[in-house]
Amino acid sequence: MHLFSVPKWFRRFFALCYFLLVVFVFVDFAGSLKPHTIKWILFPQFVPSLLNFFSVGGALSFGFIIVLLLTLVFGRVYCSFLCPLGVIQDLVSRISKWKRRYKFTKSVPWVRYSILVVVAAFAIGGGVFLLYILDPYSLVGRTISNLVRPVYFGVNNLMVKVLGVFDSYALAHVPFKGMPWQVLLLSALLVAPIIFMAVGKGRLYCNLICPVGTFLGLVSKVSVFKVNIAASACTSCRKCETVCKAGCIDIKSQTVDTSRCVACFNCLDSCKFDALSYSAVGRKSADKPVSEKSEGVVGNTSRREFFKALGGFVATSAMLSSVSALGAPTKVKEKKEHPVAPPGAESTNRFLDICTACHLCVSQCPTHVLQPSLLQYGVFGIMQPHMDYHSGFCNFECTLCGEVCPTGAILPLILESKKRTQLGVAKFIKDNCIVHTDKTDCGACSEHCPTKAVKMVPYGEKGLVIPSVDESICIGCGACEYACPTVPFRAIYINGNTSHLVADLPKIQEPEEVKAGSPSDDFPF
Amino acid sequence: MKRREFLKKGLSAGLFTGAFLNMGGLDKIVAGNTSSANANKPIDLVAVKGGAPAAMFDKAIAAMGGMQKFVKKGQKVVIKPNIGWDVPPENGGNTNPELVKRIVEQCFAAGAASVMVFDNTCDAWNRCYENSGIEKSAKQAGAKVIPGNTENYYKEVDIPNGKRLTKAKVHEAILGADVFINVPVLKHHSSAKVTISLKNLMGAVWDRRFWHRNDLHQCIADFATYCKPTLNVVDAYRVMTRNGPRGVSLADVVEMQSLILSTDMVAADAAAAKIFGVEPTDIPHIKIAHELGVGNMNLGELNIERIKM
Repeated sequence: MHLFSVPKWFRRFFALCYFLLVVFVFVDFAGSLKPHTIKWILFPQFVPSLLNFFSVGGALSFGFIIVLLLTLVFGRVYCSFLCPLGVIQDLVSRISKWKRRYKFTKSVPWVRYSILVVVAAFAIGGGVFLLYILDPYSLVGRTISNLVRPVYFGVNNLMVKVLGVFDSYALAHVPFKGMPWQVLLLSALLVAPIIFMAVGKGRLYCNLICPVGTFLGLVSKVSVFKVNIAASACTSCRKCETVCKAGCIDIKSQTVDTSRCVACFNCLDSCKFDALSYSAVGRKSADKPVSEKSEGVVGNTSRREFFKALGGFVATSAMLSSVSALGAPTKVKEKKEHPVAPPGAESTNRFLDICTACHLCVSQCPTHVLQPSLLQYGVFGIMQPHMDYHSGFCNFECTLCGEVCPTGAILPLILESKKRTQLGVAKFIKDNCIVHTDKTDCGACSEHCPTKAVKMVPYGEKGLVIPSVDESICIGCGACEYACPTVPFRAIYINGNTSHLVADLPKIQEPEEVKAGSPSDDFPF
Repeated sequence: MKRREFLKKGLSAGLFTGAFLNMGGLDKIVAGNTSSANANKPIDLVAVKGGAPAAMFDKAIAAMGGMQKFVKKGQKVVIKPNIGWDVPPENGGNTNPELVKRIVEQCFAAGAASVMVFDNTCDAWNRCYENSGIEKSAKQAGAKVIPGNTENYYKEVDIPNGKRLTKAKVHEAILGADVFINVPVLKHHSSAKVTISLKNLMGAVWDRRFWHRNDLHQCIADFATYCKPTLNVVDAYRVMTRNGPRGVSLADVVEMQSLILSTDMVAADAAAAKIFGVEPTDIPHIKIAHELGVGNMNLGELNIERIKM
């Protein structure tokens, strides 16, 4: 066979292994991979790395620079080796028709360059909405987290059932918590057209819409290595054209549109006459110069504020649907003025300006408190994660989300500062509390509170105790809200802080005087 | 030992024995005593203090007649410690891992076919299992540490004698076991006041919210009419005296080095409440359980073996 089959098979092997690793990162619920390992796995993902570079910096954010250098040398290898969406498209087109014949498609550069300019302009202005909708990594993250992960859970839970027959508890059941159906649907709707395009047109998304592909395409124009056609050897048999999923080989003019070539190397060994080579020599200047049009689109960054007002209604409407038969329904609606951003976000605005909604934190969060938002952050924050205290609460001893976040939207916190990071504060609604309404003890909120910001204080004559909140030591972890048993409205809830604050440390009381319990004492009975 | 010390100790011990012999039942009124149980009657409760958790359990179970009295050859045992919180052992938020380990060992020594350990935790379950040290120590002793993190593990049962709680979803391991050993840790509790044996059973069921919503103390007592553990081992080695049940700092914890063992949950809780420094009658769920006939909280009516190590 041809000498050139080596790069193609290397690419296939590498891309598939790496892709499966990325999938595993997003479905794993058992914490099999250390946060640091996850960071290194996602290190070369272009958009998160770029955002991380500008928001945090540090050695782990140089991935995009490496990708740029690789592109300068080898062309768009990112798109074929590292981009999970690229691999998905390759798999889809491969499965949908084994021996597909592609055709050269005329380049329509103004579409992709316009998209790139608009996306970049918004992102620089602090609006990452378009970027996170189109970024291939984030798109795949959401797809795996929202659509594949539930299937993975289902398979796991099925195995739990099977093992249960043999009295084995080797695996544990995983709950389907949170996972708003609207987000699942939206994730499916966003990825479906890309898959559809892949069936018919190979890498059309990458060369028509994808801002990363477009940008790397610009860089690859000057790359050292390129696919070249030796006009002397070419018989215009079009074999190479039919295997080019990017549709960038034009046999008529015997040129390769390097900016659209995703460096898959499929063409190389397709040529019976060895007319194609991947080399630094014989560079042709066949690429037509591209005229960029910015179309005068200017970022309008105030749009988020405009839609924010819508957000508050969503949470309550979701709650109303969960009324159960437990006791009399509560009447006073929670006044959640702000959604709660995860610890390490620093502020809601900072978080929303960086987060690409890849949902890695959603996948990794051990308590399932981090969930994709609907309209809590407004329309242009849709799917960016928020703390959903109905599906879980923030584990006091956990800092995982910040440790895995690839963009720096959630900063890594050391445990001691995380334990003092005030995401919001607990608000108590006495009229909803069953100690008040039913005159029976409850205290579920105080029980779960890790700082005892929610304390039980005497109430009435029956020796009852009722919650009282010390906001200064409350960190807004939501344990109280999660535990509160009243429906549809909780008697205690977290109102988010738009900027996270530092809570006071709980006062360490003097060790209590040992009453009857000293080991040297006698038994008190 | 110095001569004077020896004399002092001997004298006080002598005085105590004398007092016991002379005054008969008076020890029930006297606050502190170390009297041993009536050998002619079955022992209702063993109280031990002054030793390591595992050593205290060994003493207690021996006084009760040995583990083989409760665990027969080939039986399935389930142990339910308190593993509710993602905190290390020294915080006193969970049952002592060394105690759990020794109980597992004793079960196997008595011929148990299998020993399972679980809890329906409050914090993230696998983190609790790990940080509490219980998963590791129980596994070392050969137990299966099983999950209880989703509703799938729980089956609905009727509670015919329950007033407010008439149905509950109980962990399948308990329903399928021959022997159920309840191993609570004695702690302060913000809503139930103290948490001991009766309260520990909240971790054996799925829907705790219902209990909180429908008169917590009554539900705790109601469930006890249905679920009576074979044995209750109260870990009072490190006792969280405030800010319970999770605890805020180590300053909340007092080392009391005590252990209570009883087949009667109410009796065990009454004794443990006393060690904690509260009257059993002040804890509504203990009182209600007593009234429902779950057990006896009047320690004076019980045959108690007291052991100081």
